[in-house]
Amino acid sequence: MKSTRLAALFFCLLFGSLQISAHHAAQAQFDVEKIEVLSGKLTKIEMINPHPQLYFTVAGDEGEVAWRVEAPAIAALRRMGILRSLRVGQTYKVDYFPSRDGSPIALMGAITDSEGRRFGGTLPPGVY
Amino acid sequence: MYRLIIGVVALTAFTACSTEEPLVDPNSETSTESSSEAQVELGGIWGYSHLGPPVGQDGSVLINFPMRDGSVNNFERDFAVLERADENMPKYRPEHWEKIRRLDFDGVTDDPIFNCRPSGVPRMGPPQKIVQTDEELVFLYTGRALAYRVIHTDGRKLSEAQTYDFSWYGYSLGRYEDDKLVITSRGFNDQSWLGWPGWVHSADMVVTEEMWREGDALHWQATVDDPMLLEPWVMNKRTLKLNTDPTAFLWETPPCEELDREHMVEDTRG
Repeated sequence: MKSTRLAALFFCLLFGSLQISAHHAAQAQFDVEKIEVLSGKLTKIEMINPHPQLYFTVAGDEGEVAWRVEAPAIAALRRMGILRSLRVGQTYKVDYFPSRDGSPIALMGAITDSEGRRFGGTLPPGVY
Repeated sequence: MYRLIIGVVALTAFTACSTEEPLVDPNSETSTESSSEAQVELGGIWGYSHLGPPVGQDGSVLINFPMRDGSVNNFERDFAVLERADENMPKYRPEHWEKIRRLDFDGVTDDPIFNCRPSGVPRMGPPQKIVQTDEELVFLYTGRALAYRVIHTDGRKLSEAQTYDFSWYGYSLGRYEDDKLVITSRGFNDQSWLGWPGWVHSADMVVTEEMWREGDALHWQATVDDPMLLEPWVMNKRTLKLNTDPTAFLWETPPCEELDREHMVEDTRG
C-alpha cells in the first residue's frame, strides 16, 4: 500500500492539481484481463472529456469496420506528447482491452505509430 | 445513542417545519473589516506541471499509472480501493445510510461526473490558477470541466438571491484571518457529490475553505456543514506547489460527452 501511495503522490505531482478520478469502473464495460491488437487507419480525433476518442477503419475479411478507441484522459495524452504523432489518414497499431458487449469499441492500452513509437500505459506482465 | 440521533433528527425536522425564518441567514457570513487587506499572496498557477514522463530512446512514452502494477487497465478499479481505504469520510444521519450504501454499490451512472456534470464545490478541490486583487479572488479550474469562482473579499454580504440559488459552485465570501484565507460558500444545489463513493449533500450545505501558504506550497482544506451529517466533515488537506515556470499556461478544457452508458454490462463500481 505504501508503494502505491508513493506512486499516487508521484502521479499527482506529475499531473499537477488536476482532479484525478475514475470516469467509471473500466471492467463494467471492458474486459481488462484481455488485450488484443488492431491495426487501422485513423479517421477522426475527438478531443472530449472524460476520454478523447480515436476513430479507425480496420480492414477485415468482411470489409472495413469502424472502431472507436477510448483513450486515456486528456491530461495523460498531452503529457505523453502523443498528439503531435496523431494524424488523420495514417495507420496505427492499437493495443486495447475489448468491449464486453462485443461492439467495436476499445479501451486503449497503448498506440504505436508507423515509426514504431509507442505511447500509452504500462501493461501488466503476461497480459498478452 | 440511537435515540439521541433520532431525537436530533426529529428536533431538526420540527425546527425546519415550524419556523418561518429562513434556515440560513443570508447576512450571517460577511467579510471582516480587514478583509480587503490580503495578508497572503495567493496569485499564480498552482501545481499543473507540464512535465511529462521520460521519452524513450525510440521516442516511445509509457506512463506508470499509480496502481497495483502501473498498468492502465487497473487504474480505474484500483482507484476504488484507494478511495474506500480512506478512513476520513462524512458521517451521515441514519435515514441517509441506505441511499449512501446503494450509491456506493452500484451508483456508477448516478455520479454527476459520469454524466458530464460539474464536480462542484468542494469535490473539485483547489483551483489551478488564482487571480488576486484587493476586492476579490478569481479561481480558475481546468481538467474535467472548465469552471471559475469569484471570491469576494470586499466586505459585502451575499444577496438573498445568491444564498437561495441552486448552484454547483455556491457563492463565496472570503476574509483574511492572519495568514489564512477563509472562504464561506452557500447557495448550493443538492446534485453534486462530496466524493466518489456516493457522498451526497443537501442544498443547505455550507462549505468553509481555508487556504494558506508555506513557502511555495499552498494548503487547501474544506469543511462541509450539512444537515444530512451528524457532524461537520473536515476533508483531507491538499497541498499544491507554486508553478514557477514563467511560461506556464492552462490547457484548454474540452467539452464533455458521455458515450459509454449504453455499452456498460454492469453497474457495480470498482
